[in-house]
Amino acid sequence: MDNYILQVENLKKYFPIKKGFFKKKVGDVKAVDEISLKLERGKTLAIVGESGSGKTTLAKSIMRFYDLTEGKILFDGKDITTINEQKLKKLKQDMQMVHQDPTTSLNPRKKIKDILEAPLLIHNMGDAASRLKRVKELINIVELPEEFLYRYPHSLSGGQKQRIGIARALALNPKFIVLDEPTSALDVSVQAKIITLLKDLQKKFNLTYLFITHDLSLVRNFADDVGVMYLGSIVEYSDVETLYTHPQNPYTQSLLSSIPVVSDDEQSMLPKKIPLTGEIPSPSNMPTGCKFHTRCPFAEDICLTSPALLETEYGSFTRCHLVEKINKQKIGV
Amino acid sequence: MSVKSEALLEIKGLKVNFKSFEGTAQVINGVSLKVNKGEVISLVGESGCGKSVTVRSILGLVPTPPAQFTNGDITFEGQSLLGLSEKEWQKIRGKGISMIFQDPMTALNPVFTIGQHLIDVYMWQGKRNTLFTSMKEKRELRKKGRARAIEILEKMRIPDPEGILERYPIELSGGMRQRIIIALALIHTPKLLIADEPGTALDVSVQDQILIELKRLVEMEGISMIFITHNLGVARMISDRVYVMYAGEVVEEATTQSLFSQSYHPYTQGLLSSIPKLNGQMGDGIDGRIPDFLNPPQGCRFYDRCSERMDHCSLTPPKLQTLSDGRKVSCHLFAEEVVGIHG
Repeated sequence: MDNYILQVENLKKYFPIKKGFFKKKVGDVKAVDEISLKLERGKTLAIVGESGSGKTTLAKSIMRFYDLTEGKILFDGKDITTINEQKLKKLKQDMQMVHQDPTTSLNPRKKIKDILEAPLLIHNMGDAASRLKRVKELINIVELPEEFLYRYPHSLSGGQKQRIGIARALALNPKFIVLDEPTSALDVSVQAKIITLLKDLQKKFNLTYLFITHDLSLVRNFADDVGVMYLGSIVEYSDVETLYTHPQNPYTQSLLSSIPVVSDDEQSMLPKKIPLTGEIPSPSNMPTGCKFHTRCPFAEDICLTSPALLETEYGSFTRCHLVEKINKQKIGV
Repeated sequence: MSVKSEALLEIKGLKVNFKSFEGTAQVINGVSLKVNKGEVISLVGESGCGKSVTVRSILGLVPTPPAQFTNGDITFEGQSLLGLSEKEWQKIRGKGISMIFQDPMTALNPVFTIGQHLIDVYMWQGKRNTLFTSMKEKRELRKKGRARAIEILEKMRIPDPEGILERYPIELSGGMRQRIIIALALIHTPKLLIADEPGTALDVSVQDQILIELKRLVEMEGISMIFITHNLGVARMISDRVYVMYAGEVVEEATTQSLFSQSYHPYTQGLLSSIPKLNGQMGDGIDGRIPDFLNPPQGCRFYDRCSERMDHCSLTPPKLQTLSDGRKVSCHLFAEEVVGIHG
């Protein structure tokens, strides 16, 4: 069998902008623009980027919450780009998602037991007794006491709610889980607990994760590969180790250099501060050429043509015309 | 450090209770802190530790009832802030102490332009502009306000300040809105600025830019600042001294340098180890959650979650003690050392 659980080829998701009485299409928001990914079984791929860079749209497109504008998604060797509702429902047994905000992703009027049972009911799994058994199993897997089953979400803390979110995603024994910033609403002490749990679950059930985040220091501890996204495209794709030791793209370098760290040792591991001017441009009015050139301190004339995602000397891939030049400069300094 | 030793704001043994239907919640339980002139301090801790209540009581923004100030005092430039009348508060807010609120998306009024916001705050000179204020006076003030608004925006290195004044909040990005809120707080050049997690809602790169700007401005104008954050990395970057809060108490206080080279309190250590590190190391986090304020533990409030708890920790609450190296920590683990000094 194929070693890749998920392959994404040239994925595009454009949202039309409509104006006027006849809702004439006047342009596109290019939320995801030609993204290709490969995800190995049992591994974690992190997608990092600022808000508005299209991370969540990418995840939702892969989950087939949206119809794609263009491109192809292969899941477990099968093409799932255009499959119908019925097959899609079946597919959802294998791919699940953990949402960002544990408070709004749980129905406040349902007991935890009902929340965890919902996916089993939707997929007509077993009878009441076997479902209850499974629900109890799930709550043990996420290390919560069984009496929580008869409580409502509001009586749980943020970390506990997120555990319920994870348990719900695990209910159908999926192979692949999308984690959409699962810890961004939590305190660090709780975040560490959730990340440890996710790592254990991955080993136990041989899960594959697509981890969406904006926290680069978390990625270092959790992922195997990283894709850095900027305005709908991947600007750097690398394994974790290389990304932190040899970041190539100026955007990645600037992101890394702005991590607030807690010790001098770590500070010395970061690249020199690269001041970015301005903020991420609107995806409805994208800069031509290299999308980053409006904020890049190294930008030159050549940056008005769009660069390709090319392999670097460290085995990572980056999208920048000036990689070699920038690196030479650094050695010179 | 000797230059910065004059106290601007001092909180002594502050206790704040909130009365609710279920009982009395002891939310702030004896917090003492000091801000010296020109100094930047951080308050760090998890959500629900009482950081925001502490600073809101400085500005008199905690409504009584339900809150009750049962003990302690807050002094600003030698003047007690507790029990001031609304009129007296008006003289202090804005010019003496001002505040940057947390969420840049909701802190600005969507129906006013940025200019209206800034000029309005400027025109507030501690007294109401009534019908009796002559039109000429008002016009003068408005003109001055506009000039000051442009000046402060220029100082914050915001491109095209004149154009920004005509814009509505919705037209600006999150980072720009946060900058405007900082400008609003600084327009009267206060002596003390309270920043409640600015930048938390923003991306790291934008947050970084804003913090650098904020620090530069505060240093340039000689403003003291209380910076609230749950991100220890941010605290390290911006402040001179750090207060670590847990469940309504200060558990550790130290200069930034010494706290981040070695932390003493198990809670601080737990927090620091929970942060994902760049070398791929991350601790297991801290078990449990903040205790119930309605019925706080009799002894140390961190007892249930502490990795180094001892039997008597559950019986007697520790006090914030000064150690031989000048650090302050509230933990029984260090009691012996204190005894050693005195004996």
